[in-house]
Amino acid sequence: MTETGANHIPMWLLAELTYACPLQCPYCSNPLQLPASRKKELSTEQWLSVMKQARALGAVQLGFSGGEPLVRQDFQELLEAAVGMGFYCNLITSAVGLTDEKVQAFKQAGLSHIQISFQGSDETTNNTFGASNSFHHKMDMTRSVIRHGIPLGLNFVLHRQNMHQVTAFLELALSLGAEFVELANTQYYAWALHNRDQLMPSREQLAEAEAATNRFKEKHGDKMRVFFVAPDYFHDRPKKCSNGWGTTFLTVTPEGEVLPCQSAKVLPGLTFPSVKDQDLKSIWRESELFNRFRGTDWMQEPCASCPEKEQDLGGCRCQAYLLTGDPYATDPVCSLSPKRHLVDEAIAAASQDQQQHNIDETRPLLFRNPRNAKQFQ
Amino acid sequence: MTASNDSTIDHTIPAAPLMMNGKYRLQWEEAQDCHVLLYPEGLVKLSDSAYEVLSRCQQPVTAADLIAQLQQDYPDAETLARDVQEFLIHALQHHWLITTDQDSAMTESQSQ
Ligand code: SF4
Ligand code: SF4
Repeated sequence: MTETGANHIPMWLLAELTYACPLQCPYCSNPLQLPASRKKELSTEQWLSVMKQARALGAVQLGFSGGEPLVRQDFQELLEAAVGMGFYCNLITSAVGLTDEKVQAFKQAGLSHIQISFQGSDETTNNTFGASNSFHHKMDMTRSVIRHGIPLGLNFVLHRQNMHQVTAFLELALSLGAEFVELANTQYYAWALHNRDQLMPSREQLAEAEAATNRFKEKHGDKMRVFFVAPDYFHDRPKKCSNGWGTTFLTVTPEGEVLPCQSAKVLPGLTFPSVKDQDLKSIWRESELFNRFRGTDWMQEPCASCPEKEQDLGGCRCQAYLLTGDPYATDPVCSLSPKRHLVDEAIAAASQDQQQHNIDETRPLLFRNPRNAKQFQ
Repeated sequence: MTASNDSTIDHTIPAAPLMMNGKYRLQWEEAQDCHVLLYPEGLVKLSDSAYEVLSRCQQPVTAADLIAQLQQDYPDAETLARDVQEFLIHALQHHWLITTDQDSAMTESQSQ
């Protein structure tokens, strides 16, 4: 059956307010081609219009992300407007730029949830991987958010060089009073893909981190909820792209492009409609981009005749393209993919690497910043 | 009409007052033509009866009182007490509802 946008409601609006960020995480999912300036970012009025249009289409979850959304001077204004429209507002932040006064103002404005990311469980690791002196500030802001009673989740992005810190991080989160922690393994797109050889854990490391998480859960029970998000390279079936391409998520980039998933910009041969010249409803329902991979009609073999095709919709289009060169290919994470060996080779290379915890001086991590982005322009 | 008493309440449901978890929000959604429960990772669509129960848990209420209230308002619903209890167990498992005991314990540990 051919799917159309009219069958689906974009429940989630992901508003990437800006690519500017005081941090430089080497696993960042922002594009490698970071814009040199912020001149083309949507204005306050344009964001207000985007939110209004998305709400009219049925969006009810709103994620303010980036880059660092707090870099936007109009954040408070956008938040207040979004709450007024009936959105459940989530702020996804590094906490850099947050102050106790702001937390209080966000609470009063009706912010529903804050997610603060940590790059390590101690000062050195956190500050090394974020390339910023932010550890103590993150802890202060975590306490502040809890004190002001805004529901909070902590997010710890795992990779080879900090994965041994899982228990320490969970202990830290518990001592700060967090109720919810996500241990999110790096997914290999954009900057993370570029740095994959230095970030990818071995199978053993991953198993140990998962076991440590389970030991922690057994010891502390329900006091803090912990989610361990395994990297899909280590599974034999892929994940649906964004809960199904064009079914649930609308991502709007800082400059107004509308994407079915955060990384879709890497796909070749597509045009990306912009809210600067088209309304959101026609983009969601009728654009070539959103209809391209809706449903299952676009599939090639082995997906086209696979009995499981409704379950994973052939996996992630960006991963398929980035690893095989063909955006229509079966996601190579799938064990039925003729290209699965590409994933296995990457895992094997990671396991052979002797220096699991150290930065290899001969292959330095490329940190995410406008200077390093120049080579990708 | 028979008012419920504690002895008829499933033992897995705490006797202490229940209340909606502060992270969760109830809301009518026009586009989906139903009430939804919103939380940080997403949302669930609610049936009319699920909404009816949750909307009465915005303030602390014991399961026994809640069932008594509902029986008064819906005297013809025969399996009401059992249905509500099943739903409460589900809602507690998913942390949509918390017991107010837990909540006060949490406030204490947070204000240290
Ligand atoms: S991953 Fe790091 S660098 Fe990228 S936007 Fe988030 S905090 Fe900034
Ligand atoms: S072959 Fe395609 S549809 Fe079948 S399980 Fe693999 S990815 Fe999913």
